[in-house]
Parts: sequence; C-alpha cells; structure tokens
Amino acid sequence: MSHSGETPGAEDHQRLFQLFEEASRIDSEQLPAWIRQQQLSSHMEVQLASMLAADHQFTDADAEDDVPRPDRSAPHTSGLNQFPEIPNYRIEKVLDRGGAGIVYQAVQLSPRRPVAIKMLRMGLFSSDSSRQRFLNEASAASGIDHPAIVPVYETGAIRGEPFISMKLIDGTTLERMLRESQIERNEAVAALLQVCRGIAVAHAQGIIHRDLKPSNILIAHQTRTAWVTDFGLARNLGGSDGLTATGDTLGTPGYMAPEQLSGATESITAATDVYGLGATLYRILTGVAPIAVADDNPAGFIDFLRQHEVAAPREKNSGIPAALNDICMRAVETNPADRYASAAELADDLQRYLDGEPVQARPLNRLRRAHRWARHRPGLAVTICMVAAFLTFHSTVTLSGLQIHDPIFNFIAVVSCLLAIVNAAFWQHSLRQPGAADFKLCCWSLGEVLLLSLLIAAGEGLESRLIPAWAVLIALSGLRRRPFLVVLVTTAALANYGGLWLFHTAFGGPVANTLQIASNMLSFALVGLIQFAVIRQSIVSVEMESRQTRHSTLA
Amino acid sequence: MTRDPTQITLSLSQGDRKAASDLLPLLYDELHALAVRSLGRERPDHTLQPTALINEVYLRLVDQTRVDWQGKAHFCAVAATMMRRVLVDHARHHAAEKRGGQNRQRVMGDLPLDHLLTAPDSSSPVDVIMLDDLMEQLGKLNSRQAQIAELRCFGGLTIAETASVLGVSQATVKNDWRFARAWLASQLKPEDE
Repeated sequence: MSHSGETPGAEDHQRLFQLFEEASRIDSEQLPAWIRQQQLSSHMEVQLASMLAADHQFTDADAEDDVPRPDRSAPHTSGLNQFPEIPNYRIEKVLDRGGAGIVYQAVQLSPRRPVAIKMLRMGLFSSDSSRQRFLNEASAASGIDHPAIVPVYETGAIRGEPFISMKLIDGTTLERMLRESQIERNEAVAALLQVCRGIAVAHAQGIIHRDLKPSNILIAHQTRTAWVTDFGLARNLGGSDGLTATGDTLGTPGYMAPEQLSGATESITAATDVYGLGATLYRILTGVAPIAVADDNPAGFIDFLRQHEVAAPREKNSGIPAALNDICMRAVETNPADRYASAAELADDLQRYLDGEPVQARPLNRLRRAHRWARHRPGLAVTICMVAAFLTFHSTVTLSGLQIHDPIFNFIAVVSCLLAIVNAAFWQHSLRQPGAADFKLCCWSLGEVLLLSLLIAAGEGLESRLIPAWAVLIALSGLRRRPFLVVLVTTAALANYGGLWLFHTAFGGPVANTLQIASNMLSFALVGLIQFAVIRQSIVSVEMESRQTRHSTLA
Repeated sequence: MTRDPTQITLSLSQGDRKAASDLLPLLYDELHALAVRSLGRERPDHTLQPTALINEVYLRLVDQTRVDWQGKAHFCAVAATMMRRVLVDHARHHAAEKRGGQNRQRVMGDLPLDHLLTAPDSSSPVDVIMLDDLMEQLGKLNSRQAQIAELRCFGGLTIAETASVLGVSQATVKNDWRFARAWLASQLKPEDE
C-alpha cells in the first residue's frame, strides 16, 4: 500500500490529491479565487476543476454510503442450467421423477441445509384455487412436529409452478424395500408403528393424510427410522384417480379406502387413514395390496365396492401371527365404523403385538365370520343355501308323508346336491386365480343347470315341482352382472326344458300339459330378458357416474 | 491440495496471502460462466450487475454460517479483480469483432458502477475498456486509490469492508475513494462534451 508511485506524474498526482482535499472544504463561491491562488500549471488547473465539477455531481451520501447491496437472491440467469432456479436454493440433481412431478435434491442457502424440493406439474392444477389449496394444506402439514413426519420447510411457486421444500431424507420407500426384500417383517411393522404415531399427531391437529401407502413411507438408510410424506396431496390432485405426489400413476387403487374410491369425498375421515395404514400392513404381511381390481370387468367394480372381499393375510400365508392378522383385518374393514377409531388405537395395538401382549383386535364372532365367509364366496354360499333349502323341503315333505318315499330319487337328490356343492366350491376357488373369469363362470352356471335338469329328470320330469328352480337359476345368474351369462343360462334352461319335453314325448310318459310348458318357458325367457336389461342399465349408469366423479374431483 | 472455498475464505481473512491465489481459479470459472451467460444476450437494454454476480458466486461457493462479513469482504476483494478481468476480456473480445470505431460496450449497468462514476442524470453507459485503462493509469500513480476503486466498482465493497480488507481506516478510504471517483469520472467524459 505505497502512497507514492515510482512513475513520473506520481508526485503531481499526490499534489492533486492534496489540492482536491483542501478544495472540497472550500465554499464553491470562493473556489475559483482559491484555485487561482494556488498558481498551478494550466494542465493541473483544468484537471482539478473538472474533478471538482465531477465530485460536485455526486451527492455526499455517495462517499459515505455503502454500495447498494444486491439482494440475497441473484438475478435469475437461466439458460445453461436445466434445473429450475429458486431463490435461496441450489438444485443439485433429480432424485425422482413421476407422473405428478419431480423431486430434486437441493441445498437451501440460508439457512444452509440439504433439502428435497418437490415441484409439481402445473397441468395437474386446473385452477389457481386448487393450487392455493394445495399450498395451504402443505403448509398446514408443515406445522406437525413429530419425528415420523417429514418436516416441510417452505412452500411456494416459482413462475407459477408450485414447489415444496422439505427435509431431505436419505432413505428408500417402504414399497421398494418390501419389493426387494430389504426389510424384515417385524422391522417393517415397527416402522409402520412409528408412522401410525405420527399420523395420530396429525389427526389431533385435524389433518388427514388421505394417501397412506408403502410408497409414501421412507425408511432412512442410516437410522432405519420411518418417515411419512406427501400430506393432503391426494385431495388436491384429483385423488380418486390414484395420482400421488410420489409419482405413482394410476395402477391398483389397492391402498385407497372404499369410501375414497367411490368418490364420496365428504366421508373421508381419520378412519380413511386407518385403512391406508392397515393396507400397508397388509402389504407387509402378504406382499400385495388388499384389493387388486381387475379392470376386464367394469361390472366387477360394482361388486368390488359392495363386497370388498379382502382375503385375510393368514389365508395367504399361514406363518403370519394371528394377532397381526386380526389387527390388519380390523384396520381394513369396509365400513369405517368397524375399523379402529383412530390411528392412535391402531398404534397401540401394534405396540401390544410387538411387546408380546394380547391385542384388542379380535377375530369376528361366529355370525359375522359366517357372513364374511359368505361374502367372499357368494356363488358357493348361494348354492349351499339353495341346496339346503331343497333338502329341507324335500325331507320335510317325505318324512311327513306328503310324498312317497322314493329311495332312488332320494339317492340321486343327495348325490346331485353334493355334486352341486362340489361344482360350486371348485369354480369358486378357481375364480380366485386371475384369468378366464368368463369361461369359469360359464362352466359353473352350466354345471348347475345340468345338475338341476338331472334332478328334475330323475324325479317327476315335466311334473316336477322343481321346474321353477330353473327360473331361480336364471335370476341368480344376474348376480354375476354379466349380461352374456344371463343369456347363456336362460338358453341352457330353455334347452334343457325343451329337451326334457322331447325326451318325454319320444319315450312315452304321461301326456304333458303343453300350455303349461309353453307358459313356463315364456316365463323363463322373460326372467332372463328382464335380468339382461337390468344389468345392462346398471353398467351404463355406473360408467357415467364414475366419469362424473373423476371430473368433479379434478375441478 | 484443493481446499473448499469456505476454508480458503477463512484463511484469507486471517491474512493468508496464498489463499488468494487458491481462490482465483475457482472464481474465474464461476464468474466467467455467469458473466458469459449474462452478457451473451443481445438485448439492447441489457445491463450487467457485477456485484450481483459476485454475490451469487459467493453464495454458491461459501458456507455463510462459517464466514463473517470481513471474510466475505476478502472474498469479494479477490472476486473484484477477477470480475474486472472477465469483463474487460469480454469487452475487448467483442470490440475486436466489431467493425468501425464503435468499441464502446453497453456492458456496465446502472449499479453500482454507473451510480458511482457517472452523474445520475447521465444516460451514457460506462465504457469498460476505457475504465480498465484508466484504472491501470491510476494504479501507476497511486496503487491504493486504484485498489479502492476496483474494490468498490467491481466488487461492490462498502467503505467499511474496503477499510477492513486494506487494513486502513475508514476515513482514509473515504478520502481516497472520493478522489479516485472524481479522477476517473473527469477522465471518462462522454463523447459529446
């Protein structure tokens, strides 16, 4: 920091400096006189004058003042950088890409910390209000303070695109860990317990997650602690489609509670989250979601909503402890009122299981078990009921003497009843395996029709009291919600009836009442027709409704 | 051994001379990339804010929780030198490409350079090449004044920060700066006097 330079002019420069300092203390009126007094060279006089003039143009504040500070966020210089630029963040790389948006790994600059930034595609939000709602809800979730809830640091929008910045968790989703067998069952249950407790805290603050599933649960690599993320997104992203912020696109709605799937958004409560937790437990225990809806049969969707057949985990894997099985089943009950009332209760029961204490979830009492069993196997249940009804009726009639005791017929009756049950059981079981559902149902129904025909033929033939049973079979076929099946069964019944009549006529027997027969056949045909029409009607209306539901949730 | 920029900045503020040369290569790449991006656009009203760029680089490289304002001042001091070189290189490069006598570049924006050197009502931009030449000259006549000018114009350092970096009193800096500013401004006359 030398004051004098070695070059020529340095001394002049120094002189200039001194003059300048002195001159700046002198009144501007007296300045010209003062300059003349100094007796400077003309060159220096000119320079001094112009410097003083220049100095005069700057306000004094400039010498005192600090340089105006650019604000912390540097101007957006986009172009070479392919990541979005968010003030106060430095985005480093992409962590995950999905249907709903992208997750980046980033560094927040002030305060300095690693974060995950989730940016959501604008296309998902049809309006500013839905975007604002989403941001509000994400902010509300950020107020939850629990070790299992991923803290949300900030929400905002950059150039119209909403983003959430949250704690960066170095971990993998539970879904992936289960898929790749990287986590053992009890550990997964313990992780789920942590999540349950976190959800309980959220519920206490009035926040429902709505989208609990294994891919929204993260397990940290180092500590193996569980984190749950993506609150409230399901509502604002058109939830009934199954879109989530983690990017899972519409696949199986396997983890959504029935009340969510049916689009009844107003009935979503804490019990909905209980279902999600239970479904996650189900996945841990069995490797699949509770419901896998095959979409080859739209009518099956209605069935699914009504029956909601969830096979107990123990049926799939007998190694599962009964207590866990019961907890799981209670959590995924169709009726929200039948589930645990809160995530806290579920957490407590899981804790009891892990501690080896008896759990509160109980296997259902007998009646409900039977009810549930029947719901799992509707066809078989119906067959059994019919068979039971028939046998009861027949034995009553025979024993009370209203009917002649015919041992051959009795034998055939019993055999055909057994065959009917075996037939039903066989096809019912076969239907549990995916594929060729239509074919299986056809075989089943035809088998029943044939057995009934056998019974009628072995009995009184055209005089048989069992002839109306064909109409019952036609009507029952409608329960399958498949129009073609109704047609098939109707045709088969009519054919059998007709065949019986021909057989009867050809081989001689009592004179048949033709009018009666014709009238019966007409009845069968009408029953079939009505069933056909009713089913077609209901399928169409369900499709229209689901389309409407989808539209309204996106709005 | 490459150390991280935060560490280098800390050393720098503790008086480690060598640290400056460690920092230079890091800075050049960053600043150059930024400046090129900013200067690359051909909008007529395009302006560049050198101190904003330096600030951005600082935010990127250094962990601010560990470095105080004096450390930052030292960082910006080194950055200022680099910034100047980058801008001048760029301006010279473009000047050479232009045909005709117009070698003036609208590269220096409003703040802080224009604000500090030209009168508020002046509409003409600062000619970077000319400024660089003048600063060179000033440096030969009085190195400290030139340093102060560089720190303030290209680095955006405040009086206090400049004083801290140079190890002199604020009063000294104020006087020197006022002089240097007047000196440069009186030399940087617009074409139409």
